Amino acid sequence: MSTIQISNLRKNYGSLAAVAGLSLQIPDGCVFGLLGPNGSGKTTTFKCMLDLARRSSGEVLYDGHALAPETFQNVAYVPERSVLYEWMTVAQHVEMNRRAFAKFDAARAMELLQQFNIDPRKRARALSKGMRTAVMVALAFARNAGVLILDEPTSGLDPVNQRHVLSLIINEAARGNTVVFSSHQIGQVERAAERIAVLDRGRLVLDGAVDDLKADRKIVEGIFPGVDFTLDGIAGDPRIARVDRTERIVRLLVLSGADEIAARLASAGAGGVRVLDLNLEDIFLYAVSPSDATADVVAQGSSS
Amino acid sequence: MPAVLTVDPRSGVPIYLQIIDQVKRSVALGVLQAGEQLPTVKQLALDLTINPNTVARAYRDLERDSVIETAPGRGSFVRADGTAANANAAAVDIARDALESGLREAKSVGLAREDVRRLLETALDRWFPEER
Amino acid sequence: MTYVEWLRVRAALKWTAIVLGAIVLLILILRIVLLAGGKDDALAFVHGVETDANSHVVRSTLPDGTRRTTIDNAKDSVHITIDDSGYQGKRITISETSSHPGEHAPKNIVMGSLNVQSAANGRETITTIDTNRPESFAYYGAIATFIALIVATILAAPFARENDGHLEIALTKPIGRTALALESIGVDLLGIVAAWVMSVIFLIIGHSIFEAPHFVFMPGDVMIVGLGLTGAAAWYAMLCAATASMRRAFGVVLGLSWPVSALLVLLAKLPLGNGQIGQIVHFITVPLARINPFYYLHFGPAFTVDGRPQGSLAVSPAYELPALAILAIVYLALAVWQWRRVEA
Repeated sequence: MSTIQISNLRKNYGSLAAVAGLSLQIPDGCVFGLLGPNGSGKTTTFKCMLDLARRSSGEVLYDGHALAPETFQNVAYVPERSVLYEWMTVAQHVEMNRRAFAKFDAARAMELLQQFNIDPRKRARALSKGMRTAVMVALAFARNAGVLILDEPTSGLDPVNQRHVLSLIINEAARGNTVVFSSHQIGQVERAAERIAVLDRGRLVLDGAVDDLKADRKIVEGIFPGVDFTLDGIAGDPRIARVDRTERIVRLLVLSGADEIAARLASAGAGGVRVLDLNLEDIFLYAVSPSDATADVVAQGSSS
Repeated sequence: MPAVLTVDPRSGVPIYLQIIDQVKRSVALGVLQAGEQLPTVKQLALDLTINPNTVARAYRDLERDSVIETAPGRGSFVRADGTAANANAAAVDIARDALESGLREAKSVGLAREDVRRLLETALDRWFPEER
Repeated sequence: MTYVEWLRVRAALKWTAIVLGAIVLLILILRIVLLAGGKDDALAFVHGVETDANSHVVRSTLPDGTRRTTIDNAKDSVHITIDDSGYQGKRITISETSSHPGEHAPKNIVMGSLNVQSAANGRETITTIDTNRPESFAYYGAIATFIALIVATILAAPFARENDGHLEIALTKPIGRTALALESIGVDLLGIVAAWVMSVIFLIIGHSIFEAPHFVFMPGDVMIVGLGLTGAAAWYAMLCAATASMRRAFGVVLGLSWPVSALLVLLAKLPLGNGQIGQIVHFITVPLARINPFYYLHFGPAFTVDGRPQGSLAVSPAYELPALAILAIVYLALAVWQWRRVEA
């Protein structure tokens, strides 16, 4: 168990900054979801956290200490693509982990493999993409590690096994262990994660507790009688992240205080003022593509 | 209990609020009896496949609202003292939220106070005819 | 920590054992075929004399069980004594009287366990053929080194194999990169030594199928063993260093390593005369060959004639052994340095 502190992390590949000054704190015992479009720097962040890639600058601390070889007794990693040795059997991978990690529970690994319907006698090359993911997940969750770093831990899995992986994450959280995971399936993050961070082009664009974000972030919508209206005194509010106007309709993305802003919009002359909830997908889309997400969101938003 | 509680993680309503609402509703409806034990945080988290800290947060708030009590080492229970009062308070909460939301909508579409009063009268006649 | 490397070594040794075992099996079949054919006496000349109508053949058994055949052919002035100790080998003494003295220059040819000596005494030439003389252990050492070099080539890209999609496993173990690298190298080197020892054992088995292995361990053989093992280690180290930063191309490097190195060393060592082209070729190849372990690896004299080695590229091993040791250490250091820098 440990708090992970990432400070000013930067990773350049040539002139491209894959991660451009990322600071994050991942609390002890938290399930932390890392979201971002493809190429936003999630995998690079994980690699830098694990010293698999050299940081261009910045630091990563586990309970205040830099990563040392011994740290890996307590930190398990599932990469996004299969890194299993094709020519080795699943059972040999279990043995490899048993020899390397003091807290590894081989019996637990075998039990998890059975739950995923994987025959340990098979060689990795004989497994499908999803099964390879399942093997890596089973090995990681048998590590009794205080920190699990999972890069797309459900990719290639069928819905039943995806749900099983979520249950494993939740089980770890219930034991007080820290889980950091990324997923393109926002619904999974929405269920399992307590906190999220959203990366876009190597930068942190959003960071917070899922329930707080949902409670605070709203769309406030109003319809004015004519196209000629002003939002003086409203648009300048720092709690309003963006304003979309189409003809007589105005939509505001507010970060907090939705009810108060709705009331002010009504007193400015708008009718049909509504406050729309945002689910995590909406929040994510707003965070990474500030100009395009509105139409979708409003179409599926429900009034409250 | 798991059969009673369901959450929709994809909704815009925070999951812990959904749990709180449902427990209060279950208590109000008598689905949850006084003294009845709730699942442990871990069990409910696993049953609903949601984060355990979210469940713990909901339980903390329910405890703060005197709906449940937690005995260390034994679990969480629906409060025995004044469950009836709690049930009533919960029912009022639920009804008020629904009315508030309806009234806000009415105001936003520009209805006047008199229009709303007439609507309310009609609705009352329909749902509570015997109490006229 | 080095379980994976250990598995690789185990697989390489398993295949080495299978191939060597298959060769021994072929030797065994060959032996049975020869026995079934009856005449395994390779010396056609002796056989010819034996069946000559003018020959007088006497067979007897000596007290130690040796079967002696004496053949006298007065017509050709040939006298042959064949002492056949069966499994222990054969000694054939041929004395001929030539009409021209000095026709046969004295010779002493040693080739493995086969020893041919001929001496002239006036008009008489006496040739002694020993089929199973004690031989130098260097023969085994040389062949075992060859096999150890092949195994070294198979094992020689431990870092590239990890680079090829497994760094996420290799580098998230609770061990530092340098320690992991050194452990992996240690496991591989043990595997190479094991391949060498295994080869010697199979050679002795193969040899035993034909005749009783008589070999002597001479002081110089220690040098041959040392040279072979250090050479295999240096060869392994060079390929490790060459491939340590690669991901996929390492197979090509391993595959080309033998022909390229052999050609390089050959060009460097061939006397190319004083022509301009020859000088340019040497100018390029000599420095390159000197950092290639093949340059220092010679398998000793293939055979000797009157004590002079033939078919050898020998230089003094006293300078080759340290050269190979230095190459091994430098190349391994280069490999580890690269391994410390790789990124997933």
